[in-house]
Amino acid sequence: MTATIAAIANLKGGVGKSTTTVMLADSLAYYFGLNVLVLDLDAQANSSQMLLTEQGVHAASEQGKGTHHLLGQFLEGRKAAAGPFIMPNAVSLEELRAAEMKSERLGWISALPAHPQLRMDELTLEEEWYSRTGTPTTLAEALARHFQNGFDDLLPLYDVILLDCPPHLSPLSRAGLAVADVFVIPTLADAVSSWGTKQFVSWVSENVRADLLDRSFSVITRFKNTNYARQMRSELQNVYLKDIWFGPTIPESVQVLNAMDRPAPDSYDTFRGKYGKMRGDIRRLSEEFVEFLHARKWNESFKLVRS
Amino acid sequence: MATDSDQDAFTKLDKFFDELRLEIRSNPDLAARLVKAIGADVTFEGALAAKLVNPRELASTSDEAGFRAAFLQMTLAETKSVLRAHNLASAVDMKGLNQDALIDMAYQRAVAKAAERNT
Repeated sequence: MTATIAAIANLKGGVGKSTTTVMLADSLAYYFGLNVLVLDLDAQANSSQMLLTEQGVHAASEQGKGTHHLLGQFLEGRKAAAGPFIMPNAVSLEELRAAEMKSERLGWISALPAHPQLRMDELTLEEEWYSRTGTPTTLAEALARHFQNGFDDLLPLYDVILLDCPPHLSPLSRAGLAVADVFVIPTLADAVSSWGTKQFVSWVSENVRADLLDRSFSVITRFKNTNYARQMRSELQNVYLKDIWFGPTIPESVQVLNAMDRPAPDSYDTFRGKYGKMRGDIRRLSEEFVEFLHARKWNESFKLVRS
Repeated sequence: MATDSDQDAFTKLDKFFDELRLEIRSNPDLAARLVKAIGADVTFEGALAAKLVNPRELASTSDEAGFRAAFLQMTLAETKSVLRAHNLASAVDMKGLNQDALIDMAYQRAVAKAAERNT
């Protein structure tokens, strides 16, 4: 097993990066039985909160877990190792927990959570780096090498590593993009999101991955079925991002908002209970993502294990 | 002395308040919002309480005894429905729990959630 690293990214904020990360993690673990690691690079820690709750994020930080520790290793010139900072259980689905209790693990989610401290550490690092005539680009490259070394030990342990990237192109986020094999680009069907997404795709193609288009899987989230939204979706798919693989369109849904608000760190729900009427859409998200990975030859071994 | 136009005004206002009274009777959610707006201390009971209570708000504005008292008026099914509607517990979390255990869980989680959202 060698993990495929997928960066969930967009220059634009509020397009559903964290929600898409969690929906993908849940559905890949549930439907395909995959071992998924969610690595949160966004100091807002939204996907970490969705998986662990805010209480859980603080508890993780108190236990010495979190991405800021990975940055701390870099700041202190230590060898990179991400393993010690992972929360091994970020599962909220009852079916996965029940199988685990019977030692029949079939799909699992772990998390390397973010904490607001990440932004403070990133600022400290940037100030120090730039005071020594370093540039954002050399910092991004050095961080990417650090991450690559830090992830070495993780690759055999997971099927998929989802990097939830922050909505800008700081050195930390560029490093995340540089180590990714594929890119999941959530966007909304509106004008400002289309601009932001197009700019993101152009910039990353020119500066990080020349073959970005081949490696990208885009998802239109929070879709309201209006004439305007249908027009924007059609333009995105057929004009601005016509060379990108589009996954399913995820409708606007209160059920998804609720699903992202875990009641407590010890709360579990069935897939049906958590996603309700949206579960068909969430299933299609993972099916089409797996189809994309298969088509692009990233991984051809993932099979449905639950229906 | 009232003029014809004054009488028209009172008649019209009577009709307006009649409509409002009827709406308040049939729309407890509106009744609760109006009561809250005028700052009155009113306790709703039974099914109405289950429909109107916000456990996170209740846990933030009253002590545990007050929270418990509000939930003790509800049936087990109503309590479960409130916890589910306010995303404080899943059906899996509530399976096999009695009313006391549910209220304990509701209070702990409501306090924790309110604290999370308030940080």
